Amino acid sequence: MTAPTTPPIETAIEEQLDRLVNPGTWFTGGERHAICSAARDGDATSAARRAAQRVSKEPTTITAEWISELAADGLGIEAYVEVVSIASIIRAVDSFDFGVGVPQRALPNPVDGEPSRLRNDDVDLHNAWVPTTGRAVPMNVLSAVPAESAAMNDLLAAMYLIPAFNISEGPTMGNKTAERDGLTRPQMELVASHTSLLNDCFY
Amino acid sequence: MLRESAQLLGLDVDMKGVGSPTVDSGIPSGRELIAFTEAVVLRDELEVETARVALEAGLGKAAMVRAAAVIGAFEMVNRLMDAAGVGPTEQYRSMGEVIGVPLPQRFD
Repeated sequence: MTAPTTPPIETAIEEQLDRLVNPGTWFTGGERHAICSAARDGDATSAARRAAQRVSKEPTTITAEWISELAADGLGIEAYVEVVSIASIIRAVDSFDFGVGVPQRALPNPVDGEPSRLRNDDVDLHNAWVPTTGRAVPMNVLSAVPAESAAMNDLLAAMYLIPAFNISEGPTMGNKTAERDGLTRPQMELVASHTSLLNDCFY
Repeated sequence: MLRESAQLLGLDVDMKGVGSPTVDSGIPSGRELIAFTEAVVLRDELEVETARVALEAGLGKAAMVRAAAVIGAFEMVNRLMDAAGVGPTEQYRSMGEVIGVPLPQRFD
């Protein structure tokens, strides 16, 4: 079997930026652009923008009650999932750029069009505040909004490892001796663990 | 996964090195990786250049870029899991003791 591959990091990031300003599932391209900006420090004058800012800046302070308040303010749970995705993806891009020493990228202009409003009827509440397909793990945590889930997994694959535990060759999570660009799996895991520790994330 | 992958490469890992930059984890260039990770996650403008140069000197530019990408990936995953309210599994609950950092009270 041929080992799976991913696009270069730079290609994957540019694809994400284009996607972030295109119509999504519950938001237009303009709204998604504004959500990205709010996550980066822009104004937080709507429920979606407030959510984006908190996901980006204070994720450990989020509670189930606060998500309910957002819903009462018009941000339904699936739209919240899309905001979580947008804010988390732009954070990944900005952290990468800060690390390699290049300026924060400008967002492309928003693209016109309507949100798809495609629902995933196969999700339910399990061990998370948002509905997922089965027990929530990183790979399916956005499964209530399939387009976001697919995009996030693509970026995860390009930046870290391909989320395939059943494949033990190539740059996959199943390959415990994977090496990428001279960084061994234990070195990747040290970086991953320390990042999570600094973020106070103990999942 | 850190312990498991390290064992496969014959490395003797001190997990307390994950939680403390002063403890040698036993991972090659571990201190440089930890310093770079701290500078990036904490957005430390003063330290990041020094940490980047040190990491490049030890492992090369491609590995530094890959380390930045792994940091980015986990900055994303950490936010996804916190915002979705997914707490630590039973397996991870004991990890705080192993790395010398207690679980935050919000998980009590």
